[in-house]
Amino acid sequence: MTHERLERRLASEPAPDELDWVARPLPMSVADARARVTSTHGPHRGLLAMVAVVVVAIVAVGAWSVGSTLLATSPREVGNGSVASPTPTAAAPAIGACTAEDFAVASDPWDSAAGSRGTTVVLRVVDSTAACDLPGGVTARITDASGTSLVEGASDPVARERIEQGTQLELGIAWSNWCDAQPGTPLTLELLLDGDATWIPVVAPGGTGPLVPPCMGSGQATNLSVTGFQPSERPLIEG
Amino acid sequence: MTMNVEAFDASGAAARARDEDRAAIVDLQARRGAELYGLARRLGLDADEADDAVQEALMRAWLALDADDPVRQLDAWTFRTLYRLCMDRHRWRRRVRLLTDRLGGGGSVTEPAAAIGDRLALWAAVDRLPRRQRATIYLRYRADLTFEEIGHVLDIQPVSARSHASRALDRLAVLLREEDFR
Repeated sequence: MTHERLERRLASEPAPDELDWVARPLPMSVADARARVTSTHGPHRGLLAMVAVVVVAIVAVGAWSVGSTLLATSPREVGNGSVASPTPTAAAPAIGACTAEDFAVASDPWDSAAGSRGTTVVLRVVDSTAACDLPGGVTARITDASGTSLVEGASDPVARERIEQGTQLELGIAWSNWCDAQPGTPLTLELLLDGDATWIPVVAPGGTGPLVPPCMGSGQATNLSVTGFQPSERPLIEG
Repeated sequence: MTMNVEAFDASGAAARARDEDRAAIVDLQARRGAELYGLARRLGLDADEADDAVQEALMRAWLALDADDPVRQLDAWTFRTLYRLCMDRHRWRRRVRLLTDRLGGGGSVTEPAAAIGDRLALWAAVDRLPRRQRATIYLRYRADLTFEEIGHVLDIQPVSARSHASRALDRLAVLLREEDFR
């Protein structure tokens, strides 16, 4: 089917659910309209907070049954410390945290420096009506063609920070001392925000991936260093 | 006395502006309501969620008109707001799923069923495109926005919007050809 024919069909054939739409009455005043707009911190924030409190409460009750004394004195010694905290408010910061879907991501081509290979990754908050809270840190990893992680590194933890829609940030990645056999290419750089579960693939221009650094000392482990987020002055990257 | 007349005029002008704002939103709802709803459905919201999102976008558009620096491209602004509301909704779903997964029970909140069988083949194929391509196709051909306006809605360059549309048309041609052979 040609583009012209497709374009004609798309313009003339309504999507089936378009025809289901019925206009709702609008409020009579702007004050009423203001009252009906949900919080700028995102839809259903209250409901989500309630779910979070319920989850934490249930986990806390479970942990309490295991050993309340231990939990009260040293929560991190029981299972996953961040979840097992007996304080319900511990879950609150997770609400509104930035996630992988919030960002458009781009990077420079990988470059060589003395003994290491690196790039700069730029992230921009897109696709949201509201700000989100940038977590304290980020983990990076490089995987080979089969998806096996070759090396992993994390930035130093810093305080969470609220960032507005459209804000652009950057961070530096440097990989050094690879002494094993040449990994299967293409290699992929991925990022994981603290508290998130989705790795963000970072593709360099032209679909290129990380460069393998030279071996600087076979007795030492390979290392991936990640700087913390910094404000980026670069031209806005694509969404 | 002059002061009173000025105050009266200012008050009357403000009231007229408020009436004009409401009229603009009523007009926007009449002209664009079905298309806003269609976009929300294309972006994966179910019927009730899409209905709520459209209403929310209209309310926000009204507030934006009432602001000190009112919006100029009202239609594109409202589509943009709706698009972001839809993305927020998906993010909310995902967070609820993450939280409920911690309970070990799996998510009770799930993506709406695609219900592809109930849709026309053309729009079923559109719904199989990646999100930005799907939105671009809908905004271009159903909402009749320019690529510049689509760029504003999706927060991308107009040339990228054009590129999304071109790739989407290529993909649609393949999908519909496959459909013909079934």
